[in-house]
Amino acid sequence: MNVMTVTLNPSIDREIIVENFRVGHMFRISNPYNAVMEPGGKGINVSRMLSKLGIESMALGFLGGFIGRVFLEKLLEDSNITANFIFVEQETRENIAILDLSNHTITQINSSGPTLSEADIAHFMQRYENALSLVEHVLISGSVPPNTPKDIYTKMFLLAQRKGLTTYMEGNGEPFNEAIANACPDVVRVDLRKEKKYFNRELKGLDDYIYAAEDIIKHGAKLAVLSYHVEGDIIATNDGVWLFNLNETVDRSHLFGVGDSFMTGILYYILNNGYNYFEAAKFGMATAIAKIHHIEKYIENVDEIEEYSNYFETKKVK
Amino acid sequence: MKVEDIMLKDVTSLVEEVTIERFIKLCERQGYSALPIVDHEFHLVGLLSESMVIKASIPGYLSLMQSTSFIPDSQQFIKGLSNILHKPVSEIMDKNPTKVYYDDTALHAADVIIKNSLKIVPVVDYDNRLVGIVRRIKLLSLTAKGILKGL
Repeated sequence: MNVMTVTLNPSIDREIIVENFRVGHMFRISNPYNAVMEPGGKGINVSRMLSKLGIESMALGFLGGFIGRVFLEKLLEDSNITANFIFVEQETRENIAILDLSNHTITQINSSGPTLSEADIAHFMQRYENALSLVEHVLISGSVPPNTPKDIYTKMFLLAQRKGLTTYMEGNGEPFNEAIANACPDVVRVDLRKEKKYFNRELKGLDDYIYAAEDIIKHGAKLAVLSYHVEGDIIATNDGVWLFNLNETVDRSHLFGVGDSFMTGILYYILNNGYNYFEAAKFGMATAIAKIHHIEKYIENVDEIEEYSNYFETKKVK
Repeated sequence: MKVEDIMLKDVTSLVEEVTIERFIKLCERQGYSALPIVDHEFHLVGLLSESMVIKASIPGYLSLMQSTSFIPDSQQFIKGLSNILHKPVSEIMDKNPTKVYYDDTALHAADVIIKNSLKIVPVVDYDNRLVGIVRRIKLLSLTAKGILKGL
């Protein structure tokens, strides 16, 4: 096993498809495939996508309560994923997404997750450090549970870097910012779903995005990725900054899980082809586009990804 | 059928210096009755089960008996347990636990579990690193479904 994914605040994801969804009304689901429940959270999603592509990984994080046990049982059905979780007192969170395919909308309701005790955090850090001896690539992704210390990502990346491992991060907010400043991972993707912000800077024009991508590289990353409006991504490496522009317009309701697909693609490329970060980003982009074209959650083989390698143009912007 | 086909790929485990109190808390939260004990690189060094905690909580001469069902006074157990809560798991764990390798046959795992009346057995690779566990209930269910044959 080569890969560890960390999801400090995993969730049970419930995806419900309701045509013409409206608030204040009752809807019945007659087709069970239209109401699915799966283990989720950004790192977990990467583990599950890698699994479909035949790559084993170990998943770490906190779980708790009834939802935590359901989560673990479901996750263990995947024979390419080894579970390594610390159980805490309170319930694991739930993410509910209502997809309306007729009107192209997603309505999401996310709970915030369990409060962690100091003993649980210390136990997790020790488990994490020990597990580092089993892998070469570490991806930490997503939000943190309430009251988690702001330097948790920093501490985790420092431990991984001391062991010479390749590190990946997707997220935003304080723990993410601290990690960029003090222990910048090799690959960073800024999660802009909640707000278009990098540290305190609002991201509006192309210049803001280029600034953010270059800043991440200055802190020591080898690859920085930011989604740019709906149809593009800004990519930076030590060799410059590019805009990857999609040759088509995208249905917003299909953007679910696109960031996780991007990270999966980057990891998959590096695992199989080595450290060409620019090519890895292109493969990540193709994986994200392949995901947009799949309403099912997972892509089953690499050919499906390669089909999309010409669906975007790369333009050097700096 | 191999052990890796029936094991749970769950490496939930404790290191030796963790306290017995913490062991109890984590087993309760996760619904497990025993946990593998590992070193700092996930090499298997022991196993701790609920029944080992009970045995360690009662006076020595009683723990020599096969069964604890006749303990005259559960006060002894309550007092005994509170005395060991802060001790590390390494003090009372089985330091030479029964284990199986991931490429052993599933039947071998069944054999080991039934003969030693275990609820779980740790699964290791050839570096003695923990890679999962086999639970007794899984064997029962596979056998009941007719998937595991020849017992």
